[in-house]
Amino acid sequence: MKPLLAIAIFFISLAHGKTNQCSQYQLSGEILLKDKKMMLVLAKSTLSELKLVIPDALQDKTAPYIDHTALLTAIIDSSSITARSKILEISDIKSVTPDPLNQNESTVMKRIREIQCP
Amino acid sequence: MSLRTLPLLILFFSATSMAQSKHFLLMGGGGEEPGPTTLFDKELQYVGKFMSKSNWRTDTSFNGGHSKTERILAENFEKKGVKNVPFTNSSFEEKIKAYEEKILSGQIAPGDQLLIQISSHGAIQRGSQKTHQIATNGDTPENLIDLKGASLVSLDALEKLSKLAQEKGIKLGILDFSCHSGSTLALANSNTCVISSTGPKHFSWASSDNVFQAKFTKKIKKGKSLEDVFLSALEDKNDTSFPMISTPLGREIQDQTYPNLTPFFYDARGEVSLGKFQKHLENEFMANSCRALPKQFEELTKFSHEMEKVAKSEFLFFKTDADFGGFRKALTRYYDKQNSILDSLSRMESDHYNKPERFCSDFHAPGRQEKDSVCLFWSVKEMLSVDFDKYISLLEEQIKTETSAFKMERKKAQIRNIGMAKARAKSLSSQSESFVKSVDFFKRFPNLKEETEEMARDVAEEFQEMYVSIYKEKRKSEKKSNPCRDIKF
Repeated sequence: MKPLLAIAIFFISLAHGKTNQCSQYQLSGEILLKDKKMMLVLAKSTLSELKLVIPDALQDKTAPYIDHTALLTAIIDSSSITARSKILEISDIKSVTPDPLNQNESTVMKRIREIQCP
Repeated sequence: MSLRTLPLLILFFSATSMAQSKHFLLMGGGGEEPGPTTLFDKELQYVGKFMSKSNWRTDTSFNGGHSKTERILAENFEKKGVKNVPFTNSSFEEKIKAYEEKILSGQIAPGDQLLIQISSHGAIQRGSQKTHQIATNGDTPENLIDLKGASLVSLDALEKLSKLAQEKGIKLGILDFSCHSGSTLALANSNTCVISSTGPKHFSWASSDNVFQAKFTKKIKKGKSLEDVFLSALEDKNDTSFPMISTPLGREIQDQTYPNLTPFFYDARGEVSLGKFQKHLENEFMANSCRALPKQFEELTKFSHEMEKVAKSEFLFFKTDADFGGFRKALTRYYDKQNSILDSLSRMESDHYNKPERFCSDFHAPGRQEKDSVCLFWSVKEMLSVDFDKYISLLEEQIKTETSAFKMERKKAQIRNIGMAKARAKSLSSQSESFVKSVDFFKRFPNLKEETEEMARDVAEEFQEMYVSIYKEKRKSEKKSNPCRDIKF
């Protein structure tokens, strides 16, 4: 009975994940290069640090901010941001000066709205 | 009065006038374009008119080749028997040397007066100069700030003469009517009075009856002191120069106001004056939140309030505080205008830096019939901050491990786009250092010429009125004399 329940839960969660719902977020983080990839590092050097890979097609947009902190508006493929989340679109990006005395304040991870995935 | 005392009085007055000889040396006319007149004709005419009828011994070294100017010199100075010498670098040195020798030999004796008038183009003070340079009879200068291209002499050469005057008790007066002449005040001492037609950072205006030096020379009257004529001309002039005098009172007022008033005396009436105005805005713009202008405005406002209690105005038998509200009103108007220009520049800069530019490259991926294209959109701001080489290296590394032929070709095209952006950024870097320099002010601000000239003129007019009333009030309690008061026409 237990394996059946596990299989049922697996399929239910899979079906739930394919709802085609994405989220628009305002995020601030450092644009860094690692392992031949460009990444957006959120909440760097904290227990909540998250690294999101910038897809090849969006690298041109984030390249001017390499090694800098940027504030960007992005579409993420899920409702909450996890290590597996993917950046699908970046609509706006600008450089921000981080406040070294108040790192929590300078980390922005704000969900603007839920939108249809592009 | 008995008939016996009359000859004694006549003898006394003639003896006193005989005892003190008065010498006048006029130099200048340098850097002027060919033509019948020079910019200095008005002041030459007025001072010449006085000198020709006075007992002053006159001497001139003035640039020749201008028929009308030469006629003024001939009519007013040469009829006294002294022939004009062209104003060259060597004649400048020779004249100064000659007067030094006159003092040393006693031909100019203690108590005598020597007045030197400089009417020429003047350069801004540079390097280790104590004063500044003026133009002699060489070429016309390329610009009126450092007078590049003109033949120049330094007024530092007058230092020995001013020291000799001090040692020997000669009353020396130096009237520097050139641009940037405020620097010449450095030559003043207990026996030397210096009057300049403007401050060290400003132009001196000429060829009009309303400018300071025209007013000054026109107001020269027998018995009047240099100080009297200075105050009278200052009160009456209508230009944006900042005349200075080396008396302790003059220095006190000038030191408290000139540094702060400097930007309010700039305007954009033409290409020449725009240079200084634009440079000032550029400095303010670059200073961003550390701008000097608000502090200058605040200190001038405070000064004018404080001085209202000093410079009383009198009505019948009553004395009330003076009212310098007119000065504050004119100052506020020009301050607001300059701030609005700075705000506009900020908006223009933002537009300029954030406007994206497009760089596109075609690529042909294997297996696809049509050519594809990839574009890069980077703003000026992004192009100036991106590390081109780092990004190219990343793409090159990604190409090495790329399995998709399409993505590989696309990335190669991206690298070509980055190359184009890099070339563009090189041409932008010099502009970005000074965005303000690249702005066509007359095009962007259509009424700038008229507005700034009028506002600077208003500030100058209100300020000189305030200056004179403070000076006259403070002078009442001054006991010690000074060379500017002692030298009399």
